[in-house]
Amino acid sequence: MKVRNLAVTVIILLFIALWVYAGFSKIGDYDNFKFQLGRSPYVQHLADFIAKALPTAEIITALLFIPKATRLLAMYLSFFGMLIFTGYIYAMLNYSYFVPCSCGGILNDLGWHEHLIFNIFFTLLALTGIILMVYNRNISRGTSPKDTTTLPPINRPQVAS
Amino acid sequence: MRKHLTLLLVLIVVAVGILYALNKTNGAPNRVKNGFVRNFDGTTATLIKEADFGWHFREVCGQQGDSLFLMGTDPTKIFMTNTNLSKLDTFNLDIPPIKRLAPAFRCNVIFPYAYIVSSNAQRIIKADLITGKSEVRVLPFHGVFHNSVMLDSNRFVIRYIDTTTLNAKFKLMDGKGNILITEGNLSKPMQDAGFLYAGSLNYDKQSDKLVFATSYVNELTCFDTMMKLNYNTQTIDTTHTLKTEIVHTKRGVTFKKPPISINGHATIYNKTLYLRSKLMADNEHNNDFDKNIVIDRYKIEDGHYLGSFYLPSLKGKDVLQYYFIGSNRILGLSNDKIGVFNLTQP
Repeated sequence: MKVRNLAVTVIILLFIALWVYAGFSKIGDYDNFKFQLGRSPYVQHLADFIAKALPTAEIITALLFIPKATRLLAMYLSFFGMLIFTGYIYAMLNYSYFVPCSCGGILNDLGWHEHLIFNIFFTLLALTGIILMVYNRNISRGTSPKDTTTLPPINRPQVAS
Repeated sequence: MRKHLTLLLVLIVVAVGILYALNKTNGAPNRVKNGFVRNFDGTTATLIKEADFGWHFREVCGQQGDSLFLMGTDPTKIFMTNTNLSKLDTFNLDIPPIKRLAPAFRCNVIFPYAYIVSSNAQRIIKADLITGKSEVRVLPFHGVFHNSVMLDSNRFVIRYIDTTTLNAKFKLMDGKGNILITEGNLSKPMQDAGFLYAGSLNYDKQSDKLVFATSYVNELTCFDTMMKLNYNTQTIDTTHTLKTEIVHTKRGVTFKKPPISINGHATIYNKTLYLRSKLMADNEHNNDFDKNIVIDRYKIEDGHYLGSFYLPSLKGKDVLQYYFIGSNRILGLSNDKIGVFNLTQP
């Protein structure tokens, strides 16, 4: 239980760090970010919208990790976001007719293939986070079959004195 | 638990749907008819030998008889195989570490010497394949150039980018980097740092002519080794998709939008230019175009279109570079895959 809780905490902190960094680095380099989106075959026609919506969504996701009540939602959003990013990079590498520079803060130093591996890792991390959080939640509600601490007390037959 | 599994599945399906929609609306070429037809005259290319040596080869840099010299992204290694692809030997060159030499360099082998030219590193290197020793020469001029083509051991043609005007010009350079001749009227003054009219430069020893096939515009320019224009003509492939645009930024010139490639790799053999086209003709089928690369043939003498044929892929991957290694024999490279094709002409 302690190990699970620790793992969930670490995953949450990693995602908060990732989304905060990703969101603010895009805002900080907004013009260049929007320009690079315009050079991507897949999103060139949505560059304006994505340039505004994506960093906003990343920061909101990071904030949703703070209250306990919205952490699982934030983990689902993280999984969804990483899945799309991973699929986008895979499509760029294998199906795109033009591959622009893979810019994005610290990930600026990563090539496209390294970026793909990084994204796959975080997608799986988000999935792991969801599984652990759901499992922990089931245990705390007493709905997990392996949890023995929340079973109703055993009715022992009364022995006549 | 079932609720969460369902939610995960829904998210995966939605993500895939979004990516599918982005793919369908990405403005890729060949989704609509391009407005031209090809003449498939019965020429066929059949794969007769394939090999995977475990190395990533970028180009064939020379041939001597049955021996073929190949280059990867490491300038200190030159590989040698034969036309049967039955062996691979490695020559290790003793080149000192030079900043920015790799991976942007061109290599030519006239055995036993290899000549390596790099614009980023501003160097010409002559290396002895037998002893491994090298002579490194710093180019006496500053500036960026592309498409360096070797005419002989003492002459190179380069496409130089003037840093003041950002216009591209072809120049003839000697083995020490001295500029001998600058073109007069071959290139359009686009102030584009060479981007809009980037392309593939090839030299035909038989006719002593050079042919430049532009990548983003359907043009061919033929000129002689004195940088005099022979002719300008158009390739057969046309497209209705958006034209390539550039933009000047603080960091320099770059593409404003994803460029649409029209022409790819080219090679010359027997006074004929073999030019890969990335545009599908109206009389082609998607299946054929996707599973092969299409090569258009042009007469060097006047740029006249002769016909087209398909070059099959290597284990599902497009051939990226191809070279004639004998009469009716083509060597194809696709990253770490290498194949020999037999060309049959009617």
